[in-house]
Amino acid sequence: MEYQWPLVIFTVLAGGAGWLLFFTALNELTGTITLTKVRDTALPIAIVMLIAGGISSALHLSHPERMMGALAHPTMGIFTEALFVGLCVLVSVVFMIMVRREASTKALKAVAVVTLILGLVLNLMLGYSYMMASRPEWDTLLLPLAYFGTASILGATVYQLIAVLRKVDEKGIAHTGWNTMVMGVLAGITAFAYAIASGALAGTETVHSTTLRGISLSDVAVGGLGGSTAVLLWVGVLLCGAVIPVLCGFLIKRKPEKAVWVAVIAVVSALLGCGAFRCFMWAAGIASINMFQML
Amino acid sequence: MPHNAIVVNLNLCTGCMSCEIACKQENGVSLGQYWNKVFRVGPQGTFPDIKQYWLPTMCQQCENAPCVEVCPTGASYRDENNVVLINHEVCIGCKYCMMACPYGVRSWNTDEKVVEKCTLCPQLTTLGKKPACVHNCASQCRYYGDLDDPDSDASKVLARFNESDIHVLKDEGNHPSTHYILSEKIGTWEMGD
Amino acid sequence: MGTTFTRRSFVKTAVALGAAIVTASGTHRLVEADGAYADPDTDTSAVTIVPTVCRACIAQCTVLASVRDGRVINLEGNPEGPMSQGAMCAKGLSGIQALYNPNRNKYPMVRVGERGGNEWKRLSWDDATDQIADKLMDAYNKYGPEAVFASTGGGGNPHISGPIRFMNSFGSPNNFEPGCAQCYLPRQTQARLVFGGGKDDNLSIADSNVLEFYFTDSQVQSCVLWGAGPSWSGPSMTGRAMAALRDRDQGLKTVVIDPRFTADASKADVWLPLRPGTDVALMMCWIKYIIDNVLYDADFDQKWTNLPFLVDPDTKYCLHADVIGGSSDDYVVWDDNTGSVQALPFPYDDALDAALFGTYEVNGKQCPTGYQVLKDACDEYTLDKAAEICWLDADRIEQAIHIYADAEYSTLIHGLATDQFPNSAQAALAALELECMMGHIEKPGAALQRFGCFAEENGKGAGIIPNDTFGMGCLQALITYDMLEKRLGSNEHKGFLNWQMAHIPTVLEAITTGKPYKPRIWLERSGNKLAAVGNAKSWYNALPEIDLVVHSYMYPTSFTIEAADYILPMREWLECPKPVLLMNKVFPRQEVTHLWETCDETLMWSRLAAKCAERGHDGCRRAFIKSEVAPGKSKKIGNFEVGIEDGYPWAHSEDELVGLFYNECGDYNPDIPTFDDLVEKYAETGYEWATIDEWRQYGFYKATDPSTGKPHGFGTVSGRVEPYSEITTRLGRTGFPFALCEDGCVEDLTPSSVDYEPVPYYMEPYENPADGSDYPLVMTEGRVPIYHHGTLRNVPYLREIMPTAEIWVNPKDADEYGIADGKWVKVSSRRGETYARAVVTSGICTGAVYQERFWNPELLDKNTGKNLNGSWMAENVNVLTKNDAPFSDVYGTYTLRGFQVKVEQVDGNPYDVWTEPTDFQPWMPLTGDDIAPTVEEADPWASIPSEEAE
Ligand SMILES: Nc1nc2c(c(=O)[nH]1)N[C@H]1C(S)=C(S)[C@@H](COP(=O)(O)OP(=O)(O)OC[C@H]3O[C@@H](n4cnc5c(=O)[nH]c(N)nc54)[C@H](O)[C@@H]3O)O[C@H]1N2
Ligand SMILES: Nc1nc2c(c(=O)[nH]1)N[C@H]1C(S)=C(S)[C@@H](COP(=O)(O)OP(=O)(O)OC[C@H]3O[C@@H](n4cnc5c(=O)[nH]c(N)nc54)[C@H](O)[C@@H]3O)O[C@H]1N2
Ligand code: SF4
Ligand code: SF4
Ligand code: SF4
Ligand code: SF4
Ligand code: SF4
Ligand SMILES: [Mo]
Repeated sequence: MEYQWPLVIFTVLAGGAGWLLFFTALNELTGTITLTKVRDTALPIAIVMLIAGGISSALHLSHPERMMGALAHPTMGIFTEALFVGLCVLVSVVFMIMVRREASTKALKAVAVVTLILGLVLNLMLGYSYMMASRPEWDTLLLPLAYFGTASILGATVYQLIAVLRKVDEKGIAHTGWNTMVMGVLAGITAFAYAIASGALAGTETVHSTTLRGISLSDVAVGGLGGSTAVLLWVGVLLCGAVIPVLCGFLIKRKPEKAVWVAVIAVVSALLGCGAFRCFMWAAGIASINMFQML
Repeated sequence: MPHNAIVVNLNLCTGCMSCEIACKQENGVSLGQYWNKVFRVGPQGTFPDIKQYWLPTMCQQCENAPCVEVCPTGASYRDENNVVLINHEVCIGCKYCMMACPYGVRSWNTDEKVVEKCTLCPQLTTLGKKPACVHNCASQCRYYGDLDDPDSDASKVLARFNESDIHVLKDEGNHPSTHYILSEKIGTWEMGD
Repeated sequence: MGTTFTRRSFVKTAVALGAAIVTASGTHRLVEADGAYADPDTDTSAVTIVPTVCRACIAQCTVLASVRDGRVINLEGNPEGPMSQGAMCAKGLSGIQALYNPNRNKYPMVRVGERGGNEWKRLSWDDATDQIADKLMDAYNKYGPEAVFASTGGGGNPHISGPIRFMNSFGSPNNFEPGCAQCYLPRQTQARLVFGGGKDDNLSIADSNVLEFYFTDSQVQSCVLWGAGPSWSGPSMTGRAMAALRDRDQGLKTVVIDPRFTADASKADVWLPLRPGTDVALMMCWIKYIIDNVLYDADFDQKWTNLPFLVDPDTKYCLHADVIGGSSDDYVVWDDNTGSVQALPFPYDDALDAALFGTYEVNGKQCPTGYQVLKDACDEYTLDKAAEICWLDADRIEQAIHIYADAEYSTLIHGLATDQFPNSAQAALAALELECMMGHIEKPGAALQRFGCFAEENGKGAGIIPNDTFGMGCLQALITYDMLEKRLGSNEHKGFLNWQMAHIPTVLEAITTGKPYKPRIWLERSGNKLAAVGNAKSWYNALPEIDLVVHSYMYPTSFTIEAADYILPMREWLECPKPVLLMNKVFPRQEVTHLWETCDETLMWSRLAAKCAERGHDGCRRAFIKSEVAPGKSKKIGNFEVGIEDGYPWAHSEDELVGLFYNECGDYNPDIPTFDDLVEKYAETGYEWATIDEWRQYGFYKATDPSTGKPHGFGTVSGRVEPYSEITTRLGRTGFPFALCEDGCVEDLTPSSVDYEPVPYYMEPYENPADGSDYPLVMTEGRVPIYHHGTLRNVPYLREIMPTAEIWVNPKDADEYGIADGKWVKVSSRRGETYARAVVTSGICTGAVYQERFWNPELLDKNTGKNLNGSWMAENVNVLTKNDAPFSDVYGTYTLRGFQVKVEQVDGNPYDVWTEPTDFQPWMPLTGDDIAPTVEEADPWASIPSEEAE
């Protein structure tokens, strides 16, 4: 299937934002004091990412003006995604306001728990919408897991970049480096597990070539490991989305003082990797029998 | 509720494409868009011992229609006659239904920017006529009717064949209603069972 | 929701109808189309259903057209038609996109600027026909009538006889059709000679014959489809009939003999993918096998065929009993009962046991039976030999023969394929011989029938359509003996006499060499000759030799742009009125609508004839006078009816035209409805001129002829079927029985340079893969279900399905020559090169490739056309075919199939033809103001007299 850019962007931004909220909330709960000021930047950035993502997803619709119709018709999928994006925005705003109004630690911890959970659930939801029997390559729990995993590295690197830019102390920065390394490994493992288990790498055979149509349906099936999807996986998802960020995290942990450029590279790389995974999913998502080849 | 569906006897279908044109003409389907499309399957085997058949495809009117399930707006719906249809007015064009349809038989209308597909021609059937593709089929091998009514054309033709000659497209739990008749002599069914 | 719906309202309930017109060119989304099913809110005018009859191919399916405000908005099959029964194919259903095609020829036009420059100026009909008539008369006066020649199309056109009638009026013998010798002439003529039935009583199912197959209660058990693809060459008619037979509990055992795995092959029990062009060897093998294994119907052969007749080996004619002192009406057989030569009276003498085989002495000469001659001719064609020649497996051939010969009710259907190589006459004869030998004659299940004869004998049906589409004989009373002798190529290939047509390569030679005279003016009325004739380039090169070309057609084609000086706009089938005979019923094809200044083609010829008559042309004047053209000079030689038919004069008006095709011509029969009645009362149901039971009866030959008290026998000279075809030999020597002119049937034409054989012989295809050449693959052709000849390549819905020519290559050959599925390839022969996209499929036999005709109207479009020649060169298999010798002796057939090519993969889309569905958007039907309904003009030639002046 063709890449659906608005949805790629949406799930990248929303997923990254969800993880950003997660790390912010986690810090609130575990209390690495030096990282507290990251929170003040992370929350508005998460909100911006969520809104930008939401707008992007609306761009995917040909009739966004009718979007309210969706509200009248709650189902799993789009509706729940939209719901969780909305809830995340809401909780972030609340979080921010509470921080401004210097709410009690207890209250902040409470809102952090909600934020943390919402960030994670949103991330699972984003991939879960694509699980459908019609697309065997998508119809596995490993897909939401990989969405979860590949977005986590984005959240971690953004969090790390903010920490670096806000000149957090070395210990704090080293901590974000750790995050990055762990999440990079998570992204790599979940993405790779999905790629292998879903059969997406094996390529799909569709119906036969058709006499009176001059085209061969089998031509459009995804290629195997050697095809362009494989390049996406190796270079995009695994190199950019896992290996490079992990290296960056490692470097930052070793030399927190020289972290700015490394942190920028980590974000860009994670962004690419996270997007690449989504593209990989679209490319792999051939219907089991795609008669009209309309998607 | 009726359980209306199309049955195609592939033992007779000649891949003549008449149903494809009949459908486009009746429903004004634009170039590059399809509600009904005919494919050649085969040749199977090695020359000169080969078999080949044609597979006309359209919305299979699933009993558990995933397109309806995923549609966030209710634009894809099942009407009071049990037919899966799309309300163009409500469709937001998210294409989730197209992704969810296991057969890729939904079509993107680039003019109206909504999804559409075979409707079973209610504008004809409610007047007691047959769908355009059924009426005009050159081999007269397409049948339409209520699968639950043993006297319908669709049920009667199915009753003439053994279970082993009756097929549906690969069922992912969606239970397609369209049935295909194909005997081993003419071809080996390849589309799942 | 109510019970009525706008056609799309069901799915988009609230959209205002107007909003459905999204793109101006998106035809079917017009307001009109949307209202087809009365929407009480928006519908202002009612929809009328106009029953009519399709003519988008040579079948004729009954149709219901929906019309609103004069616009045809929908088409569907009319179930009342006895042959199509409500089915309608993709081509017929495309009628609307053809009718309202933006590219239609709308007005008469004259070329301005150079030929090929595609610049035109509009003229009135009167001016155009005046100018053309002036030029015709100039040439007539300066060079004689032969300076003019005409050509027509091989199907689809409502009245194939139009140009023949015009040429006969004008006094020129030369008219051609790209099918003819390459299509149906051999099979149709040979059946008239061997079987002696009517014009349509032959083995070709694609020509709407083999009517037994339209009945599911037929006893037919098995059939052989020999080079025929009925499911694709008449999908909703012949294809529908085949499907209905297959659908019976007993099914239909089938053998398909075809290099290509067609839809019919995919349903068959045995498929014999033979090497293209080798059919006659296989047929002769079947004959031999059936004789050797005594599988023939000995009783029928003895009593009802001329196979037992003794033959004079010197003359090749059957002996008549006068040589043994009997009546010259009787033939001579060897009687096994008495062991002596005996006279055989008609129909048979039960005291005799006529020997089928053997050679016997008559008056001191060794005379074989006809059967013996046939047996000897086929002797070398053993199963193994045939298998080797035809690239087949001997066991499979044997299995196929048994499917054919073991069934009580079986038949052989003979398709077009063998008409397209020089062995055509022999194939046509051998197929008929098999049917005769097997006794598959006028019996249940058989292809050869004379249905309707019983009803006609009881006085039914008189006056119904005296001249149908294949009514080749018309205005014969105006043909002079001189014209017969002068017709190009028809003296050498006398089969042409049957259709009054000329031999295409000989016409071409006359144009380029001026010998024996120079044809200079070409009146052409069909689609794209450059896509239909063999070796198209040879014609393209000859165009500068031709002074004037008039093209009458519905839209411009390559031929129009490359050749024409005048364009005369013709009607589509939805605009043409004509009665249509379908078995025991007559249906009216109606003028459902009529657009711009398009003209019925028969009226166009009338108009030209009138203009010439006005300018003093005597033949054209006489052609308007009934008594001049309907002398009805016919007589019987034996049982063979020879002589000129009643002609019908040119029409003065459209009303007269339909009348002339019906009832008012020939014997006027007041009992049958007029055309107006037909339209008013019988348009949907058809007028039943005989009940189906009266009409469908077997064994006319056995029934007693009330006028003689004897059985009718067959319409041959001997009254028997004549598989020993002495009359073919006689045709070559004398022209009998087809040399028809004002003097009746003459028998003294210059003999052909070679004798035509009464039994078949096999000719290896001229270009033979065994010669180890640079062209290693054998090319063949055959129909696809969605196009008719060169038509409909401008219909968006059809081009969407098959946008480009396709060539089928067997995977083994694809491997060997490096060809991948879906890729463009260059295909070359010794005559030229063209392109197609490869379909790699084991549905074509190894060593052969298959490609159907194609041309590309999009390359004519001024804005997109980079290369106008490309329209006929890009994807045209007829750039590769061959139109020089060898020719068929009897029919002059050249080589369209079974010649050699080379196939090489190339990059990209060499001529940049349209391939994507939306490319065809500009051809979507016109709407609204772009369409002008015809303003009927007074018939300008009404003053031409239709009675002989006192
Ligand atoms: N290589 C190769 N060449 C072939 C063949 C092949 O198999 N292979 N087949 C051959 C055969 S069998 C045939 S019959 C020929 C056919 O070749 P042509 O006869 O040249 O083909 P068309 O021009 O398509 O057919 C006749 C035309 O008449 C048009 N027509 C319909 N109604 C009217 C009308 O009222 N007025 C006018 N003026 N025209 C009208 C039809 O639309 C159609 O275009 O091609 C032959 N050429
Ligand atoms: N759709 C459609 N229908 C048509 C027409 C059309 O152009 N399109 N044209 C009409 C006309 S004018 C005609 S004449 C009829 C013809 O109708 P058919 O008689 O059915 O003729 P084709 O399909 O041309 O050829 C018959 C088969 O011969 C096969 N063949 C090719 N070479 C050989 C060979 O050497 N030997 C044998 N045994 N078979 C061979 C081809 O693959 C093809 O399947 O169709 C009519 N109907
Ligand atoms: S075939 Fe596809 S479009 Fe039709 S009901 Fe099933 S899922 Fe929906
Ligand atoms: S594209 Fe339209 S019909 Fe399909 S799921 Fe979205 S809203 Fe429903
Ligand atoms: S039932 Fe109607 S909409 Fe469906 S394929 Fe047939 S013609 Fe098209
Ligand atoms: S019209 Fe009938 S025979 Fe032709 S392709 Fe469609 S289903 Fe098959
Ligand atoms: S077979 Fe098709 S094109 Fe030919 S007459 Fe019938 S409907 Fe028309
Ligand atoms: Mo033909």
